[in-house]
Amino acid sequence: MSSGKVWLVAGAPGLGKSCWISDRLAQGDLYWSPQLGGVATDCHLLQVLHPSLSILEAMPPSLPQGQELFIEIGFHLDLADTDRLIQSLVSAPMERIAFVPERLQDSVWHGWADRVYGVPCSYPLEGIQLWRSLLTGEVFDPASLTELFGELSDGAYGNVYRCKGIFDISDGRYFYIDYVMGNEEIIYQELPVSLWLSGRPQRFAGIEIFGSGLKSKAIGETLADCCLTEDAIYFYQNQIKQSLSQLAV
Amino acid sequence: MKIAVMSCIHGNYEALITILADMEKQGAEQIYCLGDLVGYGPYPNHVVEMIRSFDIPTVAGCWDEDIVEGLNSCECSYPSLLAERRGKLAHQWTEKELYPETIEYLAELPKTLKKDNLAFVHGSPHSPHEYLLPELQGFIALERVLATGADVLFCGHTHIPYVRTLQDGNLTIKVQQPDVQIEEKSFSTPVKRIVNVGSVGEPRHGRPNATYVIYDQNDDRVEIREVEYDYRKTCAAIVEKGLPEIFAWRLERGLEFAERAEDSSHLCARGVA
Repeated sequence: MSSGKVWLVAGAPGLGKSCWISDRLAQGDLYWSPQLGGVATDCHLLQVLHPSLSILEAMPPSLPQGQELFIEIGFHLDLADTDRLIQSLVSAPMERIAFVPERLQDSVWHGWADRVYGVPCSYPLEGIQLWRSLLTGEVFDPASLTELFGELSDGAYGNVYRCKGIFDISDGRYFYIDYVMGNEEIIYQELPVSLWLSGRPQRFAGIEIFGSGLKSKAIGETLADCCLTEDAIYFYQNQIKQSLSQLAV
Repeated sequence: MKIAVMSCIHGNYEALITILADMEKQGAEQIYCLGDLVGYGPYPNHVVEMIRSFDIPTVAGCWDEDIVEGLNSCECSYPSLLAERRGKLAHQWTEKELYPETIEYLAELPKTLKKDNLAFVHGSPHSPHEYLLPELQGFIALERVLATGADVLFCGHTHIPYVRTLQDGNLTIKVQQPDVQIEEKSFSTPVKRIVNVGSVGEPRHGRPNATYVIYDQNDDRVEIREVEYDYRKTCAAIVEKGLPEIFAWRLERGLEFAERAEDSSHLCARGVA
């Protein structure tokens, strides 16, 4: 019996795994990223950008014909073990895609992937730390977030190679922010969801930072300093609601 | 006569003693200071003592005013919540650190000083909190200089030095009153200049170096001086004395950002007291 197809996508952080998946997603496709824990920026970003996407919490034993499952394997997971585990869980044709720094001619990804994409990458892959924090319920001052991302990218908190996150901001909008070392610009992308204007947002927000020598305590403190107080959240939300009601008249 | 004008020392003693030496080397006969002696930096008392010991005529900066009157941020003050929280932290630290006699001295500082056809203010003649950015609309810039009655207005506060010449121009105003024919009046103004002297201790021009200005009254020449000093000593003292490490990181890069100095159309809502 024929079945759907599984795409396994792996590689170094910041080289385009999620972007590649996003470009290929079609109606009815499935997505799974093993061992996400509480902070799953890519997963939530894909869900917002592709509302029909089904995010799986566990692997299905089989895939109906024509259905495609995209599995994103994080940099912090052991590639061989994860691959073995996936093979034991699902029975379907698989294609393995890897995004690797173009300077590498040989790597664990080269030996694993069916297709390897070499991408410019200006940071080392050895000794990378991952720092992440769930920020659901927090509302950020946008100017402060811009300052924070400027400081992160300029090395105020250690060597940051990649930093991405989804944030609720004071006017109710929802933003994805993405920095990759070597890229000139920090991406600020407003996400296509409705404004949150009723108290602390009950939707995912979080940040993930890949780098070395990260000053975790200072990052946490600065993030906290970018957050609005309870009173300020209600103040801004009421202002926006008033403006919107005036526009509606 | 060569006049040296400096501003925004912000408790950076190392930068201050270096530029004082440079002023002497340049043959400055008189020194003026445009305020912000304290705030962010680790040695506010030392800086004030040095200014007093040299008997340098000084105007009050926004930080000096806030230390005396209590923090009273207006819309000019902070570009972000993060900057505001850091600013408040620096304010609280400085408040605890200052000797009573230092505060007394700061309380006595005037808002404006004048010498011949020169005027000295911290931000603008309107308020020490107001920024005279180089892109400020020409009419308002001219109004601010005319308000002092001077030909050259020295200011600081933006932490980036510049010289702006306001060419001699004609101003025409129309006065309309009920039952009276519209009255038109014209004024012509001679060349005026705004000289922003930058910052000694907390630059935001992308390098850690201190800046100040030498003005030669004989030929009306302005020289912006950028002086290297051992900023690492100041950075080490910032951390040692318990100020946030990020202040040292920003000083190293000449990235002072804590106050709003980006919107040239913004005018301070509070006037000179």
